[in-house]
Amino acid sequence: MLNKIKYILFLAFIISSIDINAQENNILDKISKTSENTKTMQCSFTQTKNISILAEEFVSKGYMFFSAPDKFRWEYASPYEYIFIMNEKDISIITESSQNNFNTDQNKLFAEISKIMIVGINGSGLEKNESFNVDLQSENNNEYIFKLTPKQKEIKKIFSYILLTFDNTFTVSKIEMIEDTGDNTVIKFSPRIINEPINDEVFKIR
Amino acid sequence: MMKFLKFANFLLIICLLCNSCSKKPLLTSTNNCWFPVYGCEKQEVIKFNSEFKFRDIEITGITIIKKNDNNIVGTVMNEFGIKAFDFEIKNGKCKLINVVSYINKWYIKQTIQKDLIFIQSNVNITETNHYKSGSNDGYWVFNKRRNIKYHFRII
Repeated sequence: MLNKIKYILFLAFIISSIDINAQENNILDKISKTSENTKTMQCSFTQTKNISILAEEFVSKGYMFFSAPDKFRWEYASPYEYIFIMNEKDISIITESSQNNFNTDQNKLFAEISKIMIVGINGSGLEKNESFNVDLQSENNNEYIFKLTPKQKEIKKIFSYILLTFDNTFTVSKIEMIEDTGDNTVIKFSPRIINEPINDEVFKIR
Repeated sequence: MMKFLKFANFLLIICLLCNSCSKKPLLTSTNNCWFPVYGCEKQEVIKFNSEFKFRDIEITGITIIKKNDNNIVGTVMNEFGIKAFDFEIKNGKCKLINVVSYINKWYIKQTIQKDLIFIQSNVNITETNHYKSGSNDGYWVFNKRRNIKYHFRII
């Protein structure tokens, strides 16, 4: 009798696991299709850094522009000016006092960071991701939260994990980056403008 | 008489040289500390746009400092919010906490700790290694021995 109960429990566990995997794959599939159909995206964002040692929040705001597959502009407008531009394999970081240009072929860390940012913006490459282990963390109120745990040692030094929240349009509405120090950074996107033309000047690296 | 004057002159020169080689710190404007951390109210949070220059390496970031009852705590991070390190200054000593692995080397931490103590102090020059300079553009702090420059601008 006891063996029968154990067998039934084991079967129930296996079936529920399959069901969760199927559910996760279904959502990932929808996210993947949405990201394939997303040619451009632009929005404003609010970034809140929770600093545990100070028991304070630090808020910054800016704008994001994306043009598939690999053009991206992340611009902080307040309370400081800072621009990160990715244009194919070239990256430029522009601060108030300087500009530095890099190439992802020559800088592996920047290459990884660029991939993370693209995944974070539109969820592309979430399925079978080489840089992260991806798990569906929760699903409620038409929101899907995926947990991305880094595989690479260099990225693990920066983040413990990242939470990506997708809304019912299967686009990213929130990114949360958790450090093992107890700090976290939350980035919320305003309603996103999808597939409207973006001037190429936005991504130009001078 | 001439020999005596020459000897006295020689002694005077020696004394002056010894004084300039003395390890006693030169203090300027001890009552007028311009660097806001020292003069800030308790629990006040001050945020800086920061720049660190070491040889031809230039790194920008954000430094946030808070003065509590018996210590000063702070954090240094980049513009994306990724932390470089936290720090606490108490009783004239500085401790770095949660240091990112890239700079978690004893010689780097030791330099930063000493520089942070100087930065938040009300002293403008120590020996011949550190000095501060302020303008409308912000605050410069120099570590001459290590050739490190810090720039802080309040945001």
